[in-house]
Amino acid sequence: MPATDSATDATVPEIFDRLASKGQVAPLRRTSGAYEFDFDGGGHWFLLLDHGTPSVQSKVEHPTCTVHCPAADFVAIAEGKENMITAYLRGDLVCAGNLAFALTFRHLIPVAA
Amino acid sequence: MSGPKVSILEGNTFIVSDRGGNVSASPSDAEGLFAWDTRFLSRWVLKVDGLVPNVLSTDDLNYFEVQFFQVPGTGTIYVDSDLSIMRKRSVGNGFSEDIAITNESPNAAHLLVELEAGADFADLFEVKDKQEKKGELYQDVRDGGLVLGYKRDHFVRETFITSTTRPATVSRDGFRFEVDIEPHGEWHTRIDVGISLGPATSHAGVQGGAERPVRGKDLDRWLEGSPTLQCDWPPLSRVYVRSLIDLAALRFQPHVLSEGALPAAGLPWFMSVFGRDSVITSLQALPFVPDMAKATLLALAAFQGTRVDEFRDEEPGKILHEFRYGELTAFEERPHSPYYGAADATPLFLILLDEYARWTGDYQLVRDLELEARAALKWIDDYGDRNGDGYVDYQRHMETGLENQCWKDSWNSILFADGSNSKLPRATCEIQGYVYDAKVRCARLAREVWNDPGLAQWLEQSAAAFKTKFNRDYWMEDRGSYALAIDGDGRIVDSITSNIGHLLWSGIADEDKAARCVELLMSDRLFSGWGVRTMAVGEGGYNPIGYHLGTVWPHDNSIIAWGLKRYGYRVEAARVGVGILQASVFFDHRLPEAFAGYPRARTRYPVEYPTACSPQAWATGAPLLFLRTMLGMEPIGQHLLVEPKLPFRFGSLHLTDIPGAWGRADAFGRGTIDTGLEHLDPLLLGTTVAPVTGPAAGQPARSEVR
Repeated sequence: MPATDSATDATVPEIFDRLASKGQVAPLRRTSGAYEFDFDGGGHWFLLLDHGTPSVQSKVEHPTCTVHCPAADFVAIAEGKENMITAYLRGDLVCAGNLAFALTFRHLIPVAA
Repeated sequence: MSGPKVSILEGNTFIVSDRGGNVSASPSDAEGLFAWDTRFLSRWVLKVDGLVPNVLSTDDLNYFEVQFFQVPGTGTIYVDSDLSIMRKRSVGNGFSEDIAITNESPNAAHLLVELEAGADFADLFEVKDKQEKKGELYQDVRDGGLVLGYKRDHFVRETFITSTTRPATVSRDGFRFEVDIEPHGEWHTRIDVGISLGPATSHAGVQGGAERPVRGKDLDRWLEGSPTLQCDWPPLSRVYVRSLIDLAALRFQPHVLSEGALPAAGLPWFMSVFGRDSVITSLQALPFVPDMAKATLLALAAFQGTRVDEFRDEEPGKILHEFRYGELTAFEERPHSPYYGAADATPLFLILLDEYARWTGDYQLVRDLELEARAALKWIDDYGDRNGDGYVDYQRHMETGLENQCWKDSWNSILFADGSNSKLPRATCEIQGYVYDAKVRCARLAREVWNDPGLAQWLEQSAAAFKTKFNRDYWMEDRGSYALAIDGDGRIVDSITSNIGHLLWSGIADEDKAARCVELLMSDRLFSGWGVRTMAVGEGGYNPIGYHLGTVWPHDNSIIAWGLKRYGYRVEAARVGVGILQASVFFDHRLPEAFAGYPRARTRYPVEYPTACSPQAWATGAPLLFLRTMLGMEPIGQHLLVEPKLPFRFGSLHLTDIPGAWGRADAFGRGTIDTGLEHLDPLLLGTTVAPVTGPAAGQPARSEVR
């Protein structure tokens, strides 16, 4: 598992800014739902996905899934340094709700990591 | 543990036990309760008064439930007991087990009933490869139940066992019940075994085998929705029903996907998504249960490669090989999250997409997956050819990857005729056939569905040039065969193998060369009398019990027969089909993954391959594809074309309610062909053979659309 390099990693708000400006992500063009992220060490974020287009929301009443993990692990995943699926299988990241939807988040992270 | 085993399964949860229902697995035995590629129980032994009961019989009620009938052990071979034990087990998210002990005597009985439980939480790969654990095992009595657990960092897997009977004495290694049974009375308990990923907070609601009525109805619906077969040859009717039930059993909804149920590859080692196996099985089953193909296409599209990842052999556009959830995958000691080490899965995905649309008329899916199909085509040309010789080849990036990334994926499957191994990267011949077929099919889709005549023309030209080049480079005139592969040194890998049958299926073989291949396929060197061997007798690597070096694989033969039909060799196709279907009789109509390649004339029965999976998806699908091939069923627009060429032993055959673009249609045929194998029917075990009066007049082909 790749270690995170906190000196060069983006912050959580920077990552969500980046996600919000991403536009439609082709592999998810038929996928809609909402991710709730609940980070150890603070931070609570909602990301809406509308036919593959992500947007940050202040609140979503009924998120499709809730992802719980340390903020540093989320950053590593969002930076493409950590594999989301193995993080889930190891228990480093906990998913409640729709697991299949939660794992679609992997399509929102950079390809060239 | 040796002896016959009993398996029940639901999704990727399954239990393998002995005939008495007990599990006492050594680290390398594939016995126990498995889920998420992890063994949640490796010991599960019922004892009465300190002895393991004697087994009277075992009844497979359904693929997800089984009943064991036993009497208390006496230590002798004589059984004369007033007590009888019934264990009924049902698998779900874990399993539940009803244990009933009846006392038929006029006297009260006092018994000590013990249920020993233990779990080693082995990753399925550890069981297969006999590896050691790195984390900590623990046992705990919690909330009146027994918790068996394993922890390695945040990776936690737990098994929680409860009993409806109180008082029970729960200890770290199982349950004890002091049981008093009145004369002619009965004692009963229900044990629930739940599984958990992560530390379980509450198991109060655990019901391991819940939803039984729902699953029973689901199986009924599955069978009712499939075509009905009536045939004068009993083995075919039996293997047909067996195949449909086993396919139902192997369907599963992967935890990481929401696209519907697709076939897992096989029990016990391969209860997971495999790109190649899922596609082949879906192709075989397409005329019977087309929804499986749609689920497969959507699932594989969802996990199509997006990046270059050398650990996982992932590349943009590539279709996955295998998905696993166990500890070794979680800690990235194995690359299966998912792993992409298959060079054929990507063209096979494209072939299935076209074949699915042709059969069902569901062109919306072709439109929906246009982007993924284009990415797959791009993978073929951008990444598929590693050494620039124009052929799709493979070479793993890391030691944890697969050495051979074709269907014959054992390390020593691609050998020269002298028995020596070839060099990587290897471009096996059947992959080139799939690539050709995929391009031809996608040209049609590009023109008719994606409205891209430019792409269509390019694909047609590319495919035509590829066919010419292939027939020049792979053909071995002196051997009358295509080469098995071209290796990393550019050498022709010259063994004679069953792979040439796949070339017929794909249509890449020139007509004159196809005729020579048919001669070889039907010769004693390749055809064992039961089926076509993976490698010909006389080759340096030939071994009738070598995994890919001489065994007979039913799925391989179903593709070969399909290829023989494509080139007009209908009698030969029927001969291959009859041989394999006759073999199925010896396996209780459930074809194994593979069986030995000994000549039929020598052994008289198909010799079992020691570690073959059963049921295995593409072996299960093989009879279905044989049926399609022998009935000559092809979709033509909104119509089903039926051109039967059936062995005369089949007599009259009716296949009704075949789903497709036409709605539902029926196919009828009468046996007219002498395959030369029918006279061996009386040697089959357990079959009732109808009198044979010789080849009957052919019944005209027809299809009816309702």
